[in-house]
Amino acid sequence: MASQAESIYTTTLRSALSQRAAVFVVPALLLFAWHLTTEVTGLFRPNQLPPPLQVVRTAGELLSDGDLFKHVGASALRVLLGFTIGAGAALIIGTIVGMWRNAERALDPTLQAIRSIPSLAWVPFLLLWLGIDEAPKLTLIAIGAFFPVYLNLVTGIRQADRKLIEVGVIFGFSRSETIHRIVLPAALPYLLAGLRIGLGQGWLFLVAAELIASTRGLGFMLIDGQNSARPDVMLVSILLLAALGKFSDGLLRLVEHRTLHWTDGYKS
Amino acid sequence: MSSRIRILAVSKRFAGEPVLTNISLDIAPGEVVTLIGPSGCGKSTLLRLLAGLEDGHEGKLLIDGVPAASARNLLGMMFQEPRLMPWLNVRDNALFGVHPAARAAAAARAHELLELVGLGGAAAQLPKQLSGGMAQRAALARALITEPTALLLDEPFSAVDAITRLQLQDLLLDTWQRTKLTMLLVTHDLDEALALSDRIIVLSGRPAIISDVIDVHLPRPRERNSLDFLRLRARLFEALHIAKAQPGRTADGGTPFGV
Repeated sequence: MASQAESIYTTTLRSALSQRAAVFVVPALLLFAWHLTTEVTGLFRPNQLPPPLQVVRTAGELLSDGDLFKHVGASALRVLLGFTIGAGAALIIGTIVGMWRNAERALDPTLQAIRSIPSLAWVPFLLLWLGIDEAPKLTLIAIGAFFPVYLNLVTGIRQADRKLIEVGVIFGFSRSETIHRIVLPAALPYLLAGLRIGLGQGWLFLVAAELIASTRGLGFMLIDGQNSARPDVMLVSILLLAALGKFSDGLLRLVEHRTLHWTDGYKS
Repeated sequence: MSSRIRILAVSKRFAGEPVLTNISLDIAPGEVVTLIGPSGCGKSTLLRLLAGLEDGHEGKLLIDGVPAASARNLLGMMFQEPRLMPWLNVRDNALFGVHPAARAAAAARAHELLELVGLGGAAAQLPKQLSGGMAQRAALARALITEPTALLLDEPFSAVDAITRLQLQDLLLDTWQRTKLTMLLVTHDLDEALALSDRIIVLSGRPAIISDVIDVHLPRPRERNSLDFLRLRARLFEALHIAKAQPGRTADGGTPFGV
């Protein structure tokens, strides 16, 4: 019996390990191809595509002289603040528009029109109105984060089950009790999906902001690398954007996993 | 504590079309009354009017002499679906009608109610983990937590299997025997109506009127194959049959039991 239990245990362990390993297969292949086409065969010249090891060395240098930390810190802080402002505003306005038809009539058409303005079109005006400091960058990121959160929240509120809301009527719930205790929890799966998309948009708009006017941040690193003909620095920036985007999304996924355990969806 | 429910000359229209006309009904404290009739005859509408889920009616709805609209806190309700909040466990669903500030004080009562409906061991489970019968038990506990004096039951057992239905009917009967709550039940199930009610109100036509009233003077729990029970069942069946064959009742010449 013991050996049987042990073998079941090792089998599960092995399959868990192989599932973990599967995650790294594609990145490893890409890394290998990169190494092969640069360092080994020289298909790409180093001033076009520097080899992986050189990029790692550059990252190490940037890390040791403190630049890397400065740029990552600046960008992460901007996304965090801008996202918080944008998502917070979306939470308030989305709830109002979702709950009150008149608010929808009054606000939604205008918001939809603003939404269709491409992100880069904001930049000249934001610079004109808010200068070149942090304010225009945070505003741009907030605009990027706002719309996915807003749209998803309104949809989530709209699909909240009338039958559950009636339970609140039976218990004499006030409007605000109905919102807090029924509508918003019911809209939570949509809200979290919106937050994840909004955070992704935040990183997108961050780079748009930093490319144009900044002295710090990953977008600045990118431009700085371009201007000083350092493709290795550009690649460090790009790879960090990928890693940070993935990491911050992972944090939200964790929140999602913790708060949506009650949903009865496929493989939930 | 149980309430008297009075329905005085109540009429209701949906989009101009009358569904209930001039319905009057006096339900004594502790009485169990069933509304039965063809689909779409307005049985549920009457319950929903009492619960405040529909408005814009004519006539009066009184609970202990007070308009139903200001006596909501006296009513508990169960629906065809359990309508549990899927994000709350069974205990928190049972406590849903309690104001968050009063939750601590109601915790013991929630525990007691869950034991009573047979969910003592399932308090921490989520609705997605419950069977249909368990979910309706949780819904009954939720309806009772605010200590209502009357229960409105809108086809509460019509979506569960036959055996579960019998168990839930027994549970409801136990609850009634303990609390003597006034109960107004809507059902399509003849045996359910006969097993539970003091009085069965047959509604028919569109707009609906009360077409028959059957008093059930049998001691509870009722033997479902006793001669008296079967005799009443035949009587009820006949009343429904007549109700079904009343096309003349439609005011506008449309289909009598239209969707």
